[in-house]
Amino acid sequence: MIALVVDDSMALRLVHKRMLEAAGWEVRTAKDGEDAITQLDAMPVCHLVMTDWHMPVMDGIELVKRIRQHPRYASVPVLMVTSEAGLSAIQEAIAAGATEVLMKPYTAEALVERVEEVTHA
Amino acid sequence: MRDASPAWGVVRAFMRSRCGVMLAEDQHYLLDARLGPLAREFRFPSVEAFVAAACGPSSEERLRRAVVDAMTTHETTFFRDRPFWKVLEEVIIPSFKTSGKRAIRVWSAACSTGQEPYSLAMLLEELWPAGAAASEIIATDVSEIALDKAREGSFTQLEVNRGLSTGKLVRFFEQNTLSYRVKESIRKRITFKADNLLSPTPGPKDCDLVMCRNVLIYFDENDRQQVQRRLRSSVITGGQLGFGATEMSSQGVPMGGGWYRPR
Repeated sequence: MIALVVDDSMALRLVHKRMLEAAGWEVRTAKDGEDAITQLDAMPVCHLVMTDWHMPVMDGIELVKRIRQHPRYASVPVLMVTSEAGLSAIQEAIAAGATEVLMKPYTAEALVERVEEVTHA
Repeated sequence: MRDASPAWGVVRAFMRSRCGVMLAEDQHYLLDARLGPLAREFRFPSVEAFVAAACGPSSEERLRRAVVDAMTTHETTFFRDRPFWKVLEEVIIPSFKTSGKRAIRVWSAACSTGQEPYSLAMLLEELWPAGAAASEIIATDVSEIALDKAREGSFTQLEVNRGLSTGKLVRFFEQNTLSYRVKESIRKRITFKADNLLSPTPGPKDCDLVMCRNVLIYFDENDRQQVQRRLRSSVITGGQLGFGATEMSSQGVPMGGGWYRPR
């Protein structure tokens, strides 16, 4: 199973990569939404996109909208992780097309549980 | 770390008689870890003085409750153990709908801070709204402090992050400044009350489902059998008992996910 982790923070990309790898995932990373789209275009298969909300160049909301129109990845599960707290923020992300939203802070267990839930692993 | 002290023996005997929980002799580190903060909170000069006051024959109820709360485990999450909830969602609740039942009665025993009964109430509302509105969920725990939190129905962001889907969070919770509270429409469907699983008085009667998960491991074999008999006596014919994933029951026919149909 291959995941694409999208975050402008190199530290968080690494943390999330390691969390997913510990759960058995093969992980690619991207530094913003535009980079994510470029990578998705080149990836032969992707089972999960896990993206931050606030990023330069292209944010997570725009990324998920673009993914939902992508010729190959329109139905890929997208887990949005965000420091935006609150029900209205969650609703905005879901309306844009996110499969699930996980609010920071969260534990590694919560992240893996949510990933399993969205991918039905 | 201190050696086992007479105070630890007093706490073990108190917990055994008060709620049947077996604490091992070599867990004496819990004396300082769990009761040290209480001793300071209630302004006792030492843990030993607090234990003498809280666990003695004429101790104050508020101190006894604080000890029970501190010594029992409240680790729980929404929709804990996916296979348990999958069987409930895909097999048990649909069977109630097709059987023509109009409502069910459920006992969520040892419910801790309420995540289990709230999970059930949300699932029932999603799958069987007409039945959910008429059904009764009785949720019990030995800790009054845990029950107070359960009744309030407010959970931190870390708590709602565990096990609760975004869809359920949006649908069934309202946001407060620092927490998320289960909506009144769901809260009012659950009756929370204190109960000791080893009580000689029967539990709630005529239940279609009785759930008691991840708690029997804290009892010795005799008490475990006694609790299982009491739980079983609350289940109506055709009803089901739900236990934790690691808790095997000899009380019924396994239905999967920790569910048993009493023999």
